[in-house]
Amino acid sequence: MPHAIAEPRLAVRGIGKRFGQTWVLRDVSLAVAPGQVHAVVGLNGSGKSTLMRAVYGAHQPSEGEILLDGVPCRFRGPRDALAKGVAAVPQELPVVPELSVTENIFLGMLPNSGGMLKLKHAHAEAERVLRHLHADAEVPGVHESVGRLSLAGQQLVTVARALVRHAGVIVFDEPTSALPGPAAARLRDVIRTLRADGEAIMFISQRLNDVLDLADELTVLRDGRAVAQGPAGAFTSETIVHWMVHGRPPATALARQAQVQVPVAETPASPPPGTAPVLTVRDLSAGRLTGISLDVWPGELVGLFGLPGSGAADILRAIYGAERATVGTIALDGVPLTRYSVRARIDRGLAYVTGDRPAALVADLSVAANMALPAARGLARTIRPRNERNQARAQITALNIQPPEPDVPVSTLSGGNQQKVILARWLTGNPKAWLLDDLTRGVDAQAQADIHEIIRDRMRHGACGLIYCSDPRELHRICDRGLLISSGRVIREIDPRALDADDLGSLLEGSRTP
Amino acid sequence: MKLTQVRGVRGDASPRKLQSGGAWLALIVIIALLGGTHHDFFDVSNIRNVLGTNAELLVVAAGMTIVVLSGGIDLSVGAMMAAAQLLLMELHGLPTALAILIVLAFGFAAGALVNGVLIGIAKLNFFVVTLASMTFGYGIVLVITGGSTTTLTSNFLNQLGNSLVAGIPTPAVIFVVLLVILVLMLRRTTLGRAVYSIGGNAEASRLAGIPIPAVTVLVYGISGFCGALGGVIDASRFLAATPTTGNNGEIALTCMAAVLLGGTALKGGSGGLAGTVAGVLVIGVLQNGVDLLGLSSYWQQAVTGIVLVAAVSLDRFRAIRPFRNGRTAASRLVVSTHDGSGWAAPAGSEPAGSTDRGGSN
Repeated sequence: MPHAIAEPRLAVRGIGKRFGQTWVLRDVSLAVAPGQVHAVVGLNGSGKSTLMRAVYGAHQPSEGEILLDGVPCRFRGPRDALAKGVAAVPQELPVVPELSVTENIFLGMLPNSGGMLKLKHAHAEAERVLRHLHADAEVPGVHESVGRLSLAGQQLVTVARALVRHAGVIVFDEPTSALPGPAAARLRDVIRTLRADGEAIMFISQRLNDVLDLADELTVLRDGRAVAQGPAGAFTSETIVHWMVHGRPPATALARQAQVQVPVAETPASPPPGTAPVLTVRDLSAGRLTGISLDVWPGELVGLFGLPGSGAADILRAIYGAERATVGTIALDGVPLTRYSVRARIDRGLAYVTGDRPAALVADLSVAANMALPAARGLARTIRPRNERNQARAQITALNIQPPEPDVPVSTLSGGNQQKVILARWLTGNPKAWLLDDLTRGVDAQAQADIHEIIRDRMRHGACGLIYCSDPRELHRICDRGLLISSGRVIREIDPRALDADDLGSLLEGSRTP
Repeated sequence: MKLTQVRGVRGDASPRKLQSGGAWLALIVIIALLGGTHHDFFDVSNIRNVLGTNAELLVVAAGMTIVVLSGGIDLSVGAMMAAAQLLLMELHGLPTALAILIVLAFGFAAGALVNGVLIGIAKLNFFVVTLASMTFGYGIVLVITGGSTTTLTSNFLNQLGNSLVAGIPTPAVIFVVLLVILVLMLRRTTLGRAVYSIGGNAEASRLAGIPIPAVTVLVYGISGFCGALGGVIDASRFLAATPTTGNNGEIALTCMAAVLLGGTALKGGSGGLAGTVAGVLVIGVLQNGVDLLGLSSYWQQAVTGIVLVAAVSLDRFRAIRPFRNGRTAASRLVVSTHDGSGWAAPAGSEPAGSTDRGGSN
């Protein structure tokens, strides 16, 4: 019942948010009826996360109001919002890894009588809700500690928390961006179930296919304002992108061609005969990896196709030295690296770009200092703040990092811009081999295209790379060659361009149980 | 409890510039109050007295600041002071200047090779290691000296402790030289950057190739050096080697109070020496004020506690700036307790592995 005439459960009226002198959100209004999915899309920094946070109480709006069932509400925080019926499933999941599934679902409100916990009752209720979500595969038992669940499982636990509290509004912030294909499809089913239950759902995502698949209503934000709003059926992914980028509808066919196009790699670069590979790995075993062997030739970008947990990302970390290899050899231009520290491997020409931003950036340090972080690996060098700042400015301009300030703490940047800072680190040098670990996680389409172009450019100039992405479609677009990874092994080589994205999804799924 | 991350505010100045504000403000307020109520306070000899008596605390707290910035604590600084004085006494046959150099080298080496190696390379907990080396150090000094204080007679030493350079007590001048060197180290060398970086995010530093064990060894070496220098200054002012120098280890806690008062984060990664200077001076001026007013010195301790909480609260309200995308990895809970409602975790339940969170044992 996508467009049923129903009283909106959630209404946002003229909402705005100001940080200091800057309005990051201005005069946005929208309404979500029970049984409706309202998607909010926009580029990084368009204000969509701010809007979401205002709705679930993590931000106090600077202007405007939020109405629940027609009654104006003020939320003192997410906890207060939850008590009043607005639940959030944010990107960084608010779970306690050490506690059990039940304890997480009832976090802060375990059923009790006079302080004595009624755990049996809680477990039964948790089981009931998880069964309703068909979560058996992701959440095998309610006694399991949540830290042992997959990301998808943790997400479902967060959704279940909303259900046991009878929240009428559920806000999803990028729910599918970190999930592998099959799990993302499962989550879309969960959202459909919730819609059928009569929940009012707000949903933000960079994945336009998910948006078009799920949404009944759509709001496009650009520079903090709602530039387009209407039934999702009135949009196509092309018109949405155009609204996001230009703030107006595509006028002509010519304009349509000028849209963001993700560059597709040119001809398949089969290993040129007679040249030696830059990076050679033989019989590498580390952690869950066993017997990994691969070669990467100059100029090629090799994609590691695998589900999270398949070991694809671990291969990158093992080559970089972030995880110690127990057996096997890694060689760069014939120099064995296996016994080297991370520092020495960087000296030899490895670069590692990760999408795990909290593990790559030092929040309190400035943008310039974060860009220069690998330079601090030699401890006895002097730092000239002016040079460092100028170098940072050059990178900021080249990568269009916003705000263009080298001195602000990196924590004040948006996710996409933080990602560019991590990339910028390695651009001042000339790494021979790039290890790219989900380097565009949670980054908008424009920034993703920019980042891909930079990487492709380095490959054209003779570097080589190994890349893993949680979204196989991204690999499909950027790689020259692919390796299918499952259970910590290289299964076989695949041609990423001979397959379409759906094939890849099923291939990955099938590879899990060889 | 908020279950979401607190967001940074765009466009603020750097945290290092903000965070020592509380301590300097507290210092100015205290000076104004004391200057207003006691006419001797601004007397030249009184100011010299404050600077001279606090020089050793300044020196030791400077070393402690670097340890805290890197994410650790050095409880053994007092034992290092006592050991340095003992060594100085044992080396009385040598020219005093040479003996002092040997003592300082010993301080660096002992800090680096004992605390630094055990913490940085053997990966033992810094609290346990430095608590043990503090206890061990005082123990050994007491065994060797039998607990008795020895008078040191050296003209050079006397000059060092009890003379003026351009009207300023020599120990304070020594501290200023040390301060300049350490500030340059922190701000203008990659070692300094590495200190901030490993305290701010050890994993990110490791992935950037920073050799954390080497940085840790050097950091505890610097703290050992500062402890030894503090011991030498103390010996030079009193011309004695005292086995219980550093109030039997309490000086480490006084240093920590000064460092935290100065806005350096206990978890490391932000703060700096400017704040620590203010922090030590707050403690020193309070002590001086209590003396001038003829109160019991116990009051100084009580007031320091209040000022510590006040200054740290001020900084907290001015500079809340955690990571924009959540400070921790995606699977971790980001908890803050700003709304005052407290932690409502299911007490009494028996979650697997929950005991290693609380650190109750």
